[in-house]
Amino acid sequence: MPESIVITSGKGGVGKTTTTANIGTALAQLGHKVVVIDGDTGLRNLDVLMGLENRIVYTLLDYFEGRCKLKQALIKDKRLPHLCLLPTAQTRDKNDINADQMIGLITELKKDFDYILIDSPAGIEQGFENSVAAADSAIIIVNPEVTSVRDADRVIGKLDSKGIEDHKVIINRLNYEMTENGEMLNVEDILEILSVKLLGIVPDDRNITISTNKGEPIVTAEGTLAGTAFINIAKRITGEEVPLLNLKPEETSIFSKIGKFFKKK
Amino acid sequence: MNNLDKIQMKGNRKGLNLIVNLLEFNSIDELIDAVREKLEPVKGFYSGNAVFVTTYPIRLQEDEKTRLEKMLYDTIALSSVHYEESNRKEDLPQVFSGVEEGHTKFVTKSMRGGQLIEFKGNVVVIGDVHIGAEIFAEGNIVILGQLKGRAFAGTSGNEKAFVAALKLTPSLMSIAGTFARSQDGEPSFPEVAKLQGGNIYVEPYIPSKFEY
Repeated sequence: MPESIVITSGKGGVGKTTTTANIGTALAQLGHKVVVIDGDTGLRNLDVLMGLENRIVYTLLDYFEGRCKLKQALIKDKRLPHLCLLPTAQTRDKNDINADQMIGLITELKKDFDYILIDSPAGIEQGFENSVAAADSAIIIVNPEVTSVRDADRVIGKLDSKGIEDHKVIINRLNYEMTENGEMLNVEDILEILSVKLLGIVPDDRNITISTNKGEPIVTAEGTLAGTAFINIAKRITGEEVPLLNLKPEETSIFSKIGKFFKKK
Repeated sequence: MNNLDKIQMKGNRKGLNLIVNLLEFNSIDELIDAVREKLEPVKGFYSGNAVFVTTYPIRLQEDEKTRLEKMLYDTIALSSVHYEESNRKEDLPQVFSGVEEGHTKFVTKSMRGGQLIEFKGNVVVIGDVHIGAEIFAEGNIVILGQLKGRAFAGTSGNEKAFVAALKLTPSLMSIAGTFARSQDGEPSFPEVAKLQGGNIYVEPYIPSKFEY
């Protein structure tokens, strides 16, 4: 059964768009038909992360206002045939779309796709309302920071009151060392504050910045920790049980042993 | 607010009607002065008439009534003075009295930041109250979980209202307008906060000893 999932957070800059691009790509790599929708009208970024900004001709607004067919607005991914991007307009704003239009759109998309990922903008205003209007479930992105956790709590409350009770949280940008030293909120703290289910943990990884700038989602690169984390999350979305990633850096443990050896002398 | 505006003056068939919100006045002297100030200029017009004094939300004490009456007879020379309690709904910010038995709202999931409950009665939350959530209840507040947000009990003035939680760690709480914050640290047992002598006291909740 097709599923529409909104990716939201409340706070800006926590990694909603990056997560959308990566989970979408990972789900498509697993062989599912996926469409990712950019909900951030006026401040679109998803196209850049997917490396598709040059291919945009028609947008969500053109479809809603009858200037094109839905098929024309959908952009096929460069790498994966099952993956599509539905971009939004950069020259309009979030009030130009309403919730009913989104519901109509998602019903239409469900005929052709297995997974519909909606990248919600930051905030809890019209853009958020539009993004969650037709969502079956929600993924909340949270950074291990008090501000992000507080906003996530607010958003989960909003989702609850809209009847979206199926929500899970992804903890993004976790710095293993800092949580070990007690300098950053750890996973248990966050889950206790939010009392929600955990979908996955994505470590802080500099490769993300590189892949963002290249327009290639990190899941397409081999052997990065963050990429593996996103692939695992995608697998969990499909119902597969995957254990949480061990974030303890392994290779440094050998060096630290050597380091300790020398320190003793 | 100017003293003159604190008293509403209306004429009706029976005579002059003064409507007074007692909460606006700190003492009976202040009230008497205000009434005198209000009626003195129109003394000639009303003398010999009957006057009805309507007070809300509470009645005047007997001795207060006599003093007000005396002033009215002496200075304005009215024919008679009658007292009545207001029964107009809009005049009555009634104090919710059902803290032992009464209207209650049950919330069966955790309240998250930004959620607000306002209720003319008791509120019971089965779940946690997260930071940023607010409860305004005219009666008691009972949280079967951790209270981290704000809880205001007895908002219409019932001083017998209480706040109880399995973990009572509110960012702010009040009972009938008296405020308190929780101390640092997390209690390992349920607690009850109540108002005694103008201060909020927090006591451990020990089932066999719990009496209110």
